[in-house]
Order: sequence, then C-alpha cells, then structure tokens
Amino acid sequence: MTKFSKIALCALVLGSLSFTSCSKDNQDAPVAATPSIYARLGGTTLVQDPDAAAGVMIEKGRLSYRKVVNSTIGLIVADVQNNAPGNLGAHFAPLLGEVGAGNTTNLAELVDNLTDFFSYNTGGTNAVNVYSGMTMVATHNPATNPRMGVKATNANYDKFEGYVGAAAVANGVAANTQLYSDVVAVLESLRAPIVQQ
Amino acid sequence: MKINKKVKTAIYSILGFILLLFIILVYHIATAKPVDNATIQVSRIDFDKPFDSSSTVAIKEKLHEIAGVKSEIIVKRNVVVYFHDNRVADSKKIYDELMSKGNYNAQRFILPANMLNKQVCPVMNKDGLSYKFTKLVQGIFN
Repeated sequence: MTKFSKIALCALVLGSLSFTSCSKDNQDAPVAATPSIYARLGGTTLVQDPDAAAGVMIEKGRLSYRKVVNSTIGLIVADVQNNAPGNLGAHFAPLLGEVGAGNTTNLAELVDNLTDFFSYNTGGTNAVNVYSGMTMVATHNPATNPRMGVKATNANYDKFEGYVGAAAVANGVAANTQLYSDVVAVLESLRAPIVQQ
Repeated sequence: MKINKKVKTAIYSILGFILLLFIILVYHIATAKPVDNATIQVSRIDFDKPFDSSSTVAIKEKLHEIAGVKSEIIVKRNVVVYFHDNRVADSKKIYDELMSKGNYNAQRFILPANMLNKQVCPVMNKDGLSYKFTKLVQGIFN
C-alpha cells in the first residue's frame, strides 16, 4: 500500500467516525409517546369494583369510564322534563320509563356498551372491554335501532358533549387538561356517524 | 336397503347439523361477556328546594347508607339521581327510607305518560325455556 493510500484510508476511517458521531449528535432525543387515554384514566390496574361484592375487581381505566357514563346518564335524567325540548328527554326517557316498569336490562346494557366502546377505542384493548354492539351509524338510526327515539341533531350532540364534559369534571378530569381535550377530540370524532339529521 | 341408507344419511346429516348449531350456540352463551351490574336501575327524586354544597354531601351520605344504592349519585339543582340494585331495593323502598332520615319535602319522579311514547324491547320472559337454558349454561361457565 502506498503512503498516499494509507493516508487516504486513515482519512476515510476518521471521516466516517466523525460523520457517524455527528449523525448521533444530531438525532432528536426520543420523544416519549403520550400514553393512551385509557392508560391515563388508570389503565389496566385492577381495583375493587365499588358497585360489586367484595373481591370483584375491575380495571381502573374501565371503572373511570363507567363512572363518567353513569354520571352522564344521571345528569341527563336529572334534566328530563315534560315538554322541555332540547334536554335529550326524547332520547333517554325510554330508559326511565322501562326501569319504572321493572326492566333494568337495557340500562345495564347501555352503560356496559358505552363503557366498552370508549374503553376499547381509547387503549383498553383487553378482552373485558371488547365492544360487541352495533356500529355508531346503526345505533343512532331509529330505522335500525328501535331504541333510538329520534335522529340526533348537531344541537343534541353539543348538549350531549356538554353532559359528558360535566360528568368528566365531576369524576376528576379537570377541564383545562390535555386529558379532557383528548376526550373531547374522541367525542368530536364520533359526531359524523351519530348526527344523522 | 338402498333407500334406508339414504334416509339414514339424511337423518344423520340433519342431526349433525343441529348438533353443530347447538355447539355454536352453547359456545356463544358460554363465552358471552357478563354485563357489569346487570340489575342496575336509575331513579330520581325531586325535592322542593335546590341543594347547596353541604346539603349535597349530606343527601349523598344518607343515600349511600341505604342498602342497594350504588356509588354514583348525581345532585343537580333540586334533583337527585341515583343508581341502585333493584334486587336489593326498588325506588319506592329507597325513597321511603330516605324520607325517614330527614324532614324532606320531595317526590319520587315518575315519567309522564306522554314521554313514554317510545316502544322498547319487551323484557325477557323469565319463565321461558330460552331464558332458563341461557342461565343454566352461563351458570356453568361463569
């Protein structure tokens, strides 16, 4: 090997090392991915189910969603009034009517389905959260779901989002947090299939 | 006889098909995810005056003392909405018990008849064969 070749080889090796180290220096620091909404609501950590017998456990993320779902329904039921349009009574009054008649299955299924839907689609992908209900379009169309009293309007959906927001705040999700914004974003993503008039 | 053989094959095929459907049915029932709080009921009591923060805490505490009342209780203005296990207590029993705990002027909310205009699915007949069979299979696997 000639002297020139040796120098060229050294230059190449040094250059490579130099570029390699420069390249490493310029790499962006790895950004930690934001945990899923489900994880931020407690995730898969098992806790005692406050509404079940001692020893019955529930994932904390699922429990958080169930509490928000129950509170949302409770707030809507609290606003149900005779001849008061716009308070979602037309959509939820059947629930009160049937529970008054002693049939509670549909309320339990509504709570369970909503909890499954939100849990599974925001990161709670364990089997306990698998959603097996109808599509959002079919669920909110009275033609395919006789339990849907009337089609929802944008105003109905705004009102519903307000109820969910209030329920989330009541259950510890402050309105000025990223978590709250992310929950609202999920709700907004459902507006198109749900609002059908 | 040749005809007998064909008839036998047809009968076995039909029985096999029925057995297959039955196995699928049992599998679906056995693997169905049980509903959380399947006997939950939502009820509402309307009071004569709105609640402030301290009376909200007090009414929630009193309701929580009643057997069957679940954890979520919503107090909004003069209205209290609560969830309860209807196997333990119905809404009238809870209302009566709450009224005995204080000097309240309140009414149990009954949905006006004109709001009951939407037909809903009929409740499953608990004396029916399908209900009993479903409960039996779910009982075995859960």
